[in-house]
Amino acid sequence: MIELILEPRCVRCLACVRVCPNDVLEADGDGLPYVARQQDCCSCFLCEAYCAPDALYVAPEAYPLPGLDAAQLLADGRIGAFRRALGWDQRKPGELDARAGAAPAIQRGHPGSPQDLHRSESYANGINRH
Amino acid sequence: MSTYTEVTTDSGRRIAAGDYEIDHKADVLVIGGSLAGAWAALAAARAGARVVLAEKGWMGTAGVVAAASVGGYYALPDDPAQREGVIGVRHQESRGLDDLGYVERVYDQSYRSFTELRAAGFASARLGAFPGPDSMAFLRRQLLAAKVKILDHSPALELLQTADGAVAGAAGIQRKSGEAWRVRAGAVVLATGGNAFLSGAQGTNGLTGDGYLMGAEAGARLQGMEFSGHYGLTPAEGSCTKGGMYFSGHIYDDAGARLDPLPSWFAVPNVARTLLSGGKAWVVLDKAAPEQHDTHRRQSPNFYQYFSRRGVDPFRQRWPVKLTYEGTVRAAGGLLVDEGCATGVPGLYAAGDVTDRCRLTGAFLSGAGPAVAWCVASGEWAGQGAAAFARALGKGAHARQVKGAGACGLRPGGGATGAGKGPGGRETIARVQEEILPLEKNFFRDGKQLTASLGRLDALWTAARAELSAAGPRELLKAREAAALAASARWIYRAALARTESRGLHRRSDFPEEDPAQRHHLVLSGVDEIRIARREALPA
Ligand SMILES: Cc1cc2nc3c(=O)[nH]c(=O)nc-3n(C[C@H](O)[C@H](O)[C@H](O)COP(=O)(O)OP(=O)(O)OC[C@H]3O[C@@H](n4cnc5c(N)ncnc54)[C@H](O)[C@@H]3O)c2cc1C
Ligand code: SF4
Ligand code: SF4
Repeated sequence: MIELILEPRCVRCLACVRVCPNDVLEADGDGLPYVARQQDCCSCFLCEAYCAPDALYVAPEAYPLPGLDAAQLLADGRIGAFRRALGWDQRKPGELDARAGAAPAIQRGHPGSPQDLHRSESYANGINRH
Repeated sequence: MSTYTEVTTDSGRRIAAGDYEIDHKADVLVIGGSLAGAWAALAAARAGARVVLAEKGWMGTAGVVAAASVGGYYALPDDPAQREGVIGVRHQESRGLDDLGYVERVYDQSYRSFTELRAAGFASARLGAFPGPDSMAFLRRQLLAAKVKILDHSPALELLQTADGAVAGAAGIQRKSGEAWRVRAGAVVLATGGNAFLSGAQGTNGLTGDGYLMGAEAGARLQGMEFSGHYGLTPAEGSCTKGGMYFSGHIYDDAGARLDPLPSWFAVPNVARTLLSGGKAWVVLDKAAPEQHDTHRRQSPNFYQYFSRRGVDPFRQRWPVKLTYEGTVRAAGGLLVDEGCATGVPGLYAAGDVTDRCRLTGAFLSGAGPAVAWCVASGEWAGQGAAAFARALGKGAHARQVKGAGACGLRPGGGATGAGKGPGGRETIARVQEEILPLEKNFFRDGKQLTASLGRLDALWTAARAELSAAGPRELLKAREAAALAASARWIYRAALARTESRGLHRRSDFPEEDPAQRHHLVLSGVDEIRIARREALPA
């Protein structure tokens, strides 16, 4: 669940308040976001992804986890890790065409036997080439 | 950007009285802005319609696709072996309830849609792959470029109907400002997803069956609701239910015995038995070759954050799993639609998980390929159908007299609203969850348990119907979600009780075998009174 809003890093853009799909966050009178409804958070990390200055931390646990050490999480790179994993430190959300520029592959071959959903999911997600 | 303030706190009264602060007109209104809704809106706009899209959350992060990252099937026009393989790949598991001719149409359409998306600059690593957050952000831009008007944080609460039953728009609230809105439209596409009963599965908190309730209130029917016994494998302390990675590992019980002679979701019944008997289930992803670890991490960053943030190496260390209920998400049940995604109620279309998916995958899982193909194919057809319906209405579309069709949670006792007495939205939700979430009740079902649960759910419904409502916007949304959860649970258990056999995702411990005489569909209608009809399956 969403755990930390690091006030010194926050630029008060309120992107997090806008993009949270579950209406967990709200802005206070000073324009700072705060966690208004933590119980509605499903740890999707999407507020983190949209927070360019890395001022948020979402713990992956499905229950509150108070007492996290922000300095430690910043130092070991956990804060901002999801944004970097998406490549959003390099480009804007949704700018897929600006990536490598290569045309996506069409996967040929056979998706597998009817009993073999392993291969069928691989087929859908493009994990293996057959 | 300024701060949000509550400008309205009497949303409940306003909606019930038809007193709106925001009023829009559109040819097509799309409700729900995940993959199916986005695609339906684009298709309708391409067909020349003026489109408004209303999303409960924020169009771009809301829904399963943004959170999970998904991939969809398609059939290559020029590769007979590939076509045959992909079209038949789920036939065995469908247990006689699919329609291979229709499957072929869907995968031909998804190929066309995925190819169009690529031509528009969508460069995901593979055709049909939707890296979640990027895909939905990309689609948001496409919608804005197509002049679709997006209403964010604007859940629809009810459909608007003409005196002769045509659906002519919807009403809802802006949940951050509290304003009541109305969109009058020539036609409406429901794309509100399935119902995961607020189980906490990542990406599903907005999926509360609102479209089932709104559709059924307007007269639409449902099918396949009993094929809803799926629980997703989930890292024990987390919320991510993605299933693909379990194919790269092993699942064990406490004693080290393998629970997955069959991999991933095929192992779910064994995991359920283990958990039900008080044991634990453990996973290690040790089938993934070390040089593939980075690829895995890249493809499902949301899944692997759980491990990197907790300092666990999922490829080498074992970790416990739990099961999280997914309801009708990744399963079958939903609104019955015809081949063009019309519901049978004039002006009402549906796309994606809000529809029944038996045609594609019968009694078993629709996820991991078919469901995403269905999102774009059904989105295309529903969007086109709705645009054509609106066009045929012509200029008179917005002059029609309309009335809100919503009842439970909105207009208690059928009359005007006030703040409700009786259990409120959150409490009603908790009571529904007590009946539907526990493995003990819903994984292996039996007649006695179903009857007892139905008794409690029916009583809860009667109380909610008489008294549930709310004043403020967020409580009003909760009340409607509670009504949708209660209605969905009653449909699921009513159908589950009627199907006295086990088939696919419907498992009866008192009827453990599949019964060849029950190879048919169960069609539900009605909200207060639920009726069940039988519909024949296609000839075997
Ligand atoms: C973890 C996971 C992984 C999956 N992986 C795959 C895969 O690889 N391949 C595959 O084919 N399928 C997969 N699936 C299934 C697939 O994600 C769904 O079929 C798909 O997301 C359905 O899309 P949708 O657009 O119909 O609705 P959803 O994604 O369910 O979204 C519904 C939208 O409607 C909005 N909404 C709800 N109520 C209202 C309302 N009252 N007013 C306005 N808006 C509303 C919600 O906020 C939400 O944005 C997966 C599912 C899960 C849970
Ligand atoms: S997105 Fe980040 S910087 Fe912007 S308001 Fe939220 S926490 Fe602050
Ligand atoms: S993790 Fe997701 S649900 Fe939780 S606050 Fe962030 S955006 Fe909202």
